[in-house]
Amino acid sequence: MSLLTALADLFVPHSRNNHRAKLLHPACLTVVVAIFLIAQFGINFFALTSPAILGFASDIRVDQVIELTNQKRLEQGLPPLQVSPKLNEVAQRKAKDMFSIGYWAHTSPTGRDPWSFFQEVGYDYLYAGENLARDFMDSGSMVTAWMNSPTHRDNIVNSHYQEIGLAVVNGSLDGVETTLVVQVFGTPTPAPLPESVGGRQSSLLNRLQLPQVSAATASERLSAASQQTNRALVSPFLLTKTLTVFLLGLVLGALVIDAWLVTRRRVVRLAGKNLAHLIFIGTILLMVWLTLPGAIL
Amino acid sequence: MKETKYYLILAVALMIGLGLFIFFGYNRWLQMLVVVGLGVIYVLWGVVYHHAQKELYLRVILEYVAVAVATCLAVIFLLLRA
Repeated sequence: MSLLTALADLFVPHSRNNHRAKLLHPACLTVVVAIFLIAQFGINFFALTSPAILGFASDIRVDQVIELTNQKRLEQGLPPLQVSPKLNEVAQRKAKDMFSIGYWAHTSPTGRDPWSFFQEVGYDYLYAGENLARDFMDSGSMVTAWMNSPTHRDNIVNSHYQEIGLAVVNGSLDGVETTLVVQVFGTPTPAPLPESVGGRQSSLLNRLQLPQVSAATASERLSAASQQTNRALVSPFLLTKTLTVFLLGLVLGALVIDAWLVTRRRVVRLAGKNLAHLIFIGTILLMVWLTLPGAIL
Repeated sequence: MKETKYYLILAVALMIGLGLFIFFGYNRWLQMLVVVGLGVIYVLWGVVYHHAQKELYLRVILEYVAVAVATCLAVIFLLLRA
């Protein structure tokens, strides 16, 4: 069987393939799934064996993120947040911790919560919160993603917060070059009252309230503060998206050819409905198109 | 006419699923749940439709399952990469 005949069998219904494009046979669709899975494992393997090649190129700047955050607050009639060097340090330390241990979460695998970083830099807070993000292509889409999430939105437009800190840090996470963003919010405790004579000042930390806002861990892309990143990397996301569109496009193409020829030839056969498959795969392709890189926690 | 009714139900279900997928854009896991749900609904639709047409055979069901699994897996892996 020549290559051309084999290709024709995949897309054109006739007696050799039981009047159904072979690509639409369950066995052949299973092969498509297998190819997809092998490609995914291949990407993972490549990421582990050749780090710093796969990754995301992003353009996220600290000043932009803070400006957009304050813009959202102003829209809600809230005062803008002041940048706190201590909170910037909190965000930097959190980002470095995630890269050094290799995790992406509000709480580290060792059980360390976000609030410990506040204490580490000596930021005594009344209220504190954290948003995390990773792999967004620009500041705008990242802030929009946060605003679309109720918990992250609560952090951004929370009237209790007075200060903000941000870190955008690049590094390697699971072998993939990643940009993590840590956004922390806080309200410092008021200055302690003067000590009474002979009195003993209690630790401010003892008077801390629990963080008011759930730690919203957004996907984290950390890049050195205020540093714009533009690296020529192969994005695992774009690789997967391209492969998905290609494979689903092949199946969609086979469906269209099959439907057209079968209708024209008035073939009666036992098979699934092409129109239903077309509607379903079309919807799924729309979802694929709508899926953009970037995640929040 | 009867066929139109079935296709209309499928289209509405898929549109609702697409709407939920967009709505849950902030949560990848909920999006995956929506995709899996749509896959299950699609297979069920195939079973009900072909049963009504009196042409329900294992081969036909397998075709719907294969289409659903192949497409849903692709989206899930994409969401995991995002």
